[in-house]
Amino acid sequence: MLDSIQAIIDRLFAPEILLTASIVLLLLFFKYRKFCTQNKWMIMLILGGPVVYFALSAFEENFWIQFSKPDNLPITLMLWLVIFFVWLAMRKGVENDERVAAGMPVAEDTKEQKEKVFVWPDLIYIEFLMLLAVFIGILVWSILIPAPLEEPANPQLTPNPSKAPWYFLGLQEILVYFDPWLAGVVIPSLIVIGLMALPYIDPNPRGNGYYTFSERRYEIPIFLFGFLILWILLVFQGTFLRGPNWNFYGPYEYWDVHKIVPLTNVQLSEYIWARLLGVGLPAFWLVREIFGIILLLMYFVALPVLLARKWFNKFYVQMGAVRYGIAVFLFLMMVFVPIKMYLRWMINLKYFVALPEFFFNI
Amino acid sequence: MAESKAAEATLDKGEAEVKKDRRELLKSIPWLGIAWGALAAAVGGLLTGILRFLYPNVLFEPPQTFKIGLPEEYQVGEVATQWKDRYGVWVVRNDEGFYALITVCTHLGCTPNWLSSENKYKCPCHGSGFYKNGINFEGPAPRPLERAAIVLAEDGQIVVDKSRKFLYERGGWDDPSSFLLYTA
Amino acid sequence: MAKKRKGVYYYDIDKLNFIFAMLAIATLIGVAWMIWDDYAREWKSYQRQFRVIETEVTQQQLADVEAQVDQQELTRLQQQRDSAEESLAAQQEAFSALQDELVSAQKVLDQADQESRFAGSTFDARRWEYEEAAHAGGGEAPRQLARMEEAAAAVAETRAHLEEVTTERDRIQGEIDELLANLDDALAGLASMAREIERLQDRLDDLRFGFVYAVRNAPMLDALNPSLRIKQAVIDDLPVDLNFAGAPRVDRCETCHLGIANPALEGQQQPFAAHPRLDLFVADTSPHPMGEFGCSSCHLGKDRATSFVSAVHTPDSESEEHRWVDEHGWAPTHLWEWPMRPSYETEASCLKCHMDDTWLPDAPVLEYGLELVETLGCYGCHALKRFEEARNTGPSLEHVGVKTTQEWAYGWVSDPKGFRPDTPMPSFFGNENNSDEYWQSRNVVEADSMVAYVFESSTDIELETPSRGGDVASGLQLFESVGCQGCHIADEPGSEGFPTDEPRFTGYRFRGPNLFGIGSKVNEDWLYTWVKGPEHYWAETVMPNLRLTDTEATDLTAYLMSLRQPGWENQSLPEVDEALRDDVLLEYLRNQLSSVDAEARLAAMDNHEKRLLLGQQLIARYGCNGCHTIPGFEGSGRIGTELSAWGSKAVAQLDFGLLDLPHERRAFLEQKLEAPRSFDDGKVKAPQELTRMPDFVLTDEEVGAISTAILGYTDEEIPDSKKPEKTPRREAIEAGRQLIDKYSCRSCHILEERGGAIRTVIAEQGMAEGRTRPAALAFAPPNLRTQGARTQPDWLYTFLHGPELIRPWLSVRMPTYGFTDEELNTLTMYFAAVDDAPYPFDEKFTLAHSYPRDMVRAGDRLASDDILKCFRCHVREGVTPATDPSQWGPDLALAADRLRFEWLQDWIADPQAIMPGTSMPQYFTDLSPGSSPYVDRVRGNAPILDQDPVTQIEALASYIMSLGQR
Repeated sequence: MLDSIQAIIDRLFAPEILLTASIVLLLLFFKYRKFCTQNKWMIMLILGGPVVYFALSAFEENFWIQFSKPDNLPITLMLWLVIFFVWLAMRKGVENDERVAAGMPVAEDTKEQKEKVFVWPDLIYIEFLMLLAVFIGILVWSILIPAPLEEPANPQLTPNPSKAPWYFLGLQEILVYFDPWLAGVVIPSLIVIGLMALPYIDPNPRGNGYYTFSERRYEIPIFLFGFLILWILLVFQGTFLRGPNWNFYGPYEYWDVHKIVPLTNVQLSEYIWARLLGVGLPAFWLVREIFGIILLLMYFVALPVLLARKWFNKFYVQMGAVRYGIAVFLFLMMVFVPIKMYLRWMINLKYFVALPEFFFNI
Repeated sequence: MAESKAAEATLDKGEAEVKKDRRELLKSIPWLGIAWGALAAAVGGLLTGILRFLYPNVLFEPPQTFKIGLPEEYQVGEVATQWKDRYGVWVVRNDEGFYALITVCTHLGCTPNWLSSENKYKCPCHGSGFYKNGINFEGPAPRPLERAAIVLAEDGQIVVDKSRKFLYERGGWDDPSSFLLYTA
Repeated sequence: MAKKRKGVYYYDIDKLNFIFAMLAIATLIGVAWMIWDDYAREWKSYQRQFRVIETEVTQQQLADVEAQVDQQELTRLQQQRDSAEESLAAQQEAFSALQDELVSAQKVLDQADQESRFAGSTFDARRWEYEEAAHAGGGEAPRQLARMEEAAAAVAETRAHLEEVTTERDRIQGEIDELLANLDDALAGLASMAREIERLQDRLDDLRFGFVYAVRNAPMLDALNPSLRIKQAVIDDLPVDLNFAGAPRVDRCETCHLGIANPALEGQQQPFAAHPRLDLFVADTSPHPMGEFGCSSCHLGKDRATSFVSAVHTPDSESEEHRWVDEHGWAPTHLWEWPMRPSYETEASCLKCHMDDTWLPDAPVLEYGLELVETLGCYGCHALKRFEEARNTGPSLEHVGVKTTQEWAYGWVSDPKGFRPDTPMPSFFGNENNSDEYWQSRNVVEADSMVAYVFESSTDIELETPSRGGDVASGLQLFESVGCQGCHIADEPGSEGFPTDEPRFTGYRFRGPNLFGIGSKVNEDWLYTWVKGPEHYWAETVMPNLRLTDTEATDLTAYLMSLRQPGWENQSLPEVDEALRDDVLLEYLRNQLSSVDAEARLAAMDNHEKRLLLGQQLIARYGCNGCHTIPGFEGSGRIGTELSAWGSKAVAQLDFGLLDLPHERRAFLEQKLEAPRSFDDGKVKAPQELTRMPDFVLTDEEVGAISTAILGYTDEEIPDSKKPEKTPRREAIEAGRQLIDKYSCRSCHILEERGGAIRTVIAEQGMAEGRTRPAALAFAPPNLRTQGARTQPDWLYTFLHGPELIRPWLSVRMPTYGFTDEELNTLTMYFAAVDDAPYPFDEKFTLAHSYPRDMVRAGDRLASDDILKCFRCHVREGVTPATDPSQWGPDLALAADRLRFEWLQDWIADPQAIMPGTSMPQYFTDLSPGSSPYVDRVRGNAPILDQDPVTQIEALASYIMSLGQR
């Protein structure tokens, strides 16, 4: 009985299901935000649920092996903290939205909040006490849990699995779906550039110094989608759900080194030329990849124009062509990641455009 | 009714008084002093710990104590030079027993050579000369060569301990550990 | 500060102060905990325990020494000291005066010494100047000469003066010494008596748990000179393999194992017990001192660890594992690649340094494992260091057609142990992965084809035919007496005559095949030809030639042919499923050709050709040429992986299949040896992907020994300074030992205290006839102890080349081995090297005329029947004595050419020292001059050679040596 429950949970954590479910849950969280942040049961579910799940699963051997590793303990803690702070921010945002709707000033704008306090002792003393507390925490942690040390490195024997540090596991995860040039250089650079460009492309002056949701109803979901789904979730997946040979293993699954999963993939050009049209692949790269190239052009060039005319018209008008162009490019690039992932899962698509001659595949 | 109310009031007052007493007791303790004292002690402990690290628990130097074989392997009246490179001692045997001279010239620390034909240790750096027993007689050396502790181990081998040195000018050569009595 | 202005601040400062105090106290507790956690180490508690033990042991030693003190001597010395002090006190004035004199005499002497030194160095300098001037020519020389002579005079003068004052000083010193003589004597005596007691008492003081101890070992203060400290041995030249680097080995085992080198602590509870065999290991006087080898180079484990678990100790058994889990919280450590060897495996580490040692008597498990590897022929498939030059384990099949039949061979190949259970040949068919219905038919096809190929390619040789009428009973008697039983058994396992005191495969009596049932295997002509001269059929055989006469050979053949196994008579070749054979052949053809070509090729062959081709393919697959010489497979390689570094293989690279085994090297290896094909269990594999290692059907003990041996094969590089020194003597001994193993000399002879397997058989035969055991063993081949010191190398060379009769009472016959010149040289050098005897020239060049006539005559008299009666037991020039043959000694006329003169004298003086248990009496127990009891009885008890035993012995020896020359 327990085994079948565990088997079901194992399947639920598969990348395709996990990603879909997470997106759906996040959207529901936005839509029913008041319920999620103010209803007693929902609060217990959102904040206590992960704790209960962890506590119950800890009795399972394979689960415990992974989650109790000294390297992974901080990540487990971090996950809960991320959930907590997102929930807290939303709660405060909903509160403020309601206050504004009722004509009151936001919670940060009250008289009490605008009072000033002394740096010494109010600020510094508190910080000092926190310093002591954190020091004690780290001290006790270091005495009780020794730093993990593995076996001497062997140049002839690569550890299996070979994982990047946790903060890069999201990128290591998308390496499954993307060419290393893209996953390792282009996308991280775009993330950094995008973050730097945020002040430039975000025209919304609201939400400065106070929590809100409805006043930033596009910005917050987009950012949280990128942060929670495309970063945190993938880090979680890379840490706990990827085992030897970078295969997927459910939380209760034993990390069997010999597990074999079929992973053959097909290029778009092969799909169209060989399967659909029944001819061999053309030799010249431009002809061969023409379909992919056209698709990508449509996506990155035609689609923004279409969006500017229809659904993103408001933004286009507000930001002007240049800012809109940059913003929509970054947005489309971000959404491209899950689109590619889904296409890989559904039709084993390898690359839209495969140009090994130029070391460029996308 | 009024009685119970009065009783209640008395009760409340009692509670409040107890609380007040407790608060005053707590206030009278010098928490700040205790806090700084404890913190100073903790920081002192950490500093002491840092100082402790300056004294390693293990050293990877070659051992200062070593065995050099059985007494029968040494000739009476001869200076044994086979341990000079490895351990830095000359082992000398005479009629009464053994002593070990440390191969460091007492002038400026070079390594002298034993010249058996001239019956002396001669330092190549500045020409210091020492008799077979280590007494300086030539050159700039100010004092005789130093001796190392030399004893007989339980298995019958000679043990030399360079961590214990004996200086002639301080009466060290009178110390029984500086000389191994051994007659064949 | 904040107390007074409470209302101004946002937070309640009093409350914050309280929180501050709590946190500060918590910090203090945390820091104290941290310091304590660092200070309180596991090994310190062991060292404290050891101090208690050491105190007890030292107290016991002190009590023993004190009990042994000679009280009388002590009192006497004390009295002597007291009286000397008294008399000295009485002479105090004279004594002080003398001392003052001494001081001034010493001052004078020092002055004179200095003057002499100055004069000496001045002379040296001037002499050099003169020599240079004289050499340079020019007019300087005379002046320099004059100066030099002046200096010489000064030297002489000062030296004379020095001598004077030295004598004076010595005189005074002598007087003082005289006065002090008694006192010094007494003090020296007392000091030497007290030395040991003082040493032990000092040690006890050191060991006390007093104030000094507490201060020395207090937290923080233990920086300076703690008594509880880590003990380590740093060994640079045996580095720890860290994959990309080698770190110096730093063994900290002694930190807990404090009694490891102390013989007084044998049998103590762990971890304080002394190391076993301190004569071999750990002690500074042993060949493996700890300072040179450390601990982890043999035992493995984590050298630098200082706690029980992190040192990666490995339990020897499950019960030990449970105990360790309870007591130490032990858990296996996967992250150190070299866990400590369990104690039954420690000998594996001997191999990496002693790879070239032929015999390893101090490592019996390893030696047994290596012997098994050699006998079973593992190197036939798996390349292995040490066995690069080893010969084929199985007999040559080049001419097998004249020896036996295809029918018999088919039965053998299908199931060798069905015919001969103790054969080293393993089973290829009917194993775990080829026993189902399909494979039963396929096995028939395969075995049949292989046999067909071998017999087709076998060439004929000429055989001799025995004459008719071979007598089985005489043959049996010959078999039991001439020496066959040293190497061969002819009994079924489990029957009465089957030896139970020797391990199968490696026992000396298992050297040659068990001849039980041989009549059902071979044909008579072949057996007769073989027994008369084995090298005719198989050039590389190690079976020697017994120099049988035709009659003897005929009888022996008749007897052996009478040994039958009923199930193996009149066999026929099996019925082969031809369609299946075609499929199998097609499968093999498709390895090299395309399907179309393969089928074409198949269609073009007839049945016979198919059978042969399939046989050839299968022999190549199963690697039969690894053990047998097969025509057509000369130069073919080995089919298995090289195992020369298997002990270093990463466990992650071992494929455990679906078997539920602990992921350790030993578990894998033992499973592989016990059931090689079990790794295919549960796997879906094509026929040619199946494991093909055959099943040797080994016992647990054999598996354990071979595992120990293979685990010893690591890729560590050991510097020559750690390996046994390669002296010419050692090389000669090793080369000899290899030949002794090859030709199984120890089947008959005891060599270096081991061997002589045939002795058990001969003893049993003799005792069945009513003799005592020692008397029965008189008929056994001689123990070759001190053979090198005993015999002359030339004679030994000739003897080994073609044996002659030395002991006519033996019915066992030393066979002719057909040694090459090189082998003869190796053997004679071996014997000489073992005894460190001069080689190749004898000490005294013995010619007949070098023995003085009077010595020979005296010896003759001594040896005669009136005195020593030598010829009551010894054969003389072919004439045998009248006593029982179990008492006889070798023919003394052979001594001149055979024995060494010096050895002969040592032998006569003390035979038991050279050959314990010999029946040669000892005639001379006392060798001091004049003590010999042997006088010339015939000539009225006249003395012989002044009754000096040494001379008498020499006379006897001279006489014996001259016998052969007459």
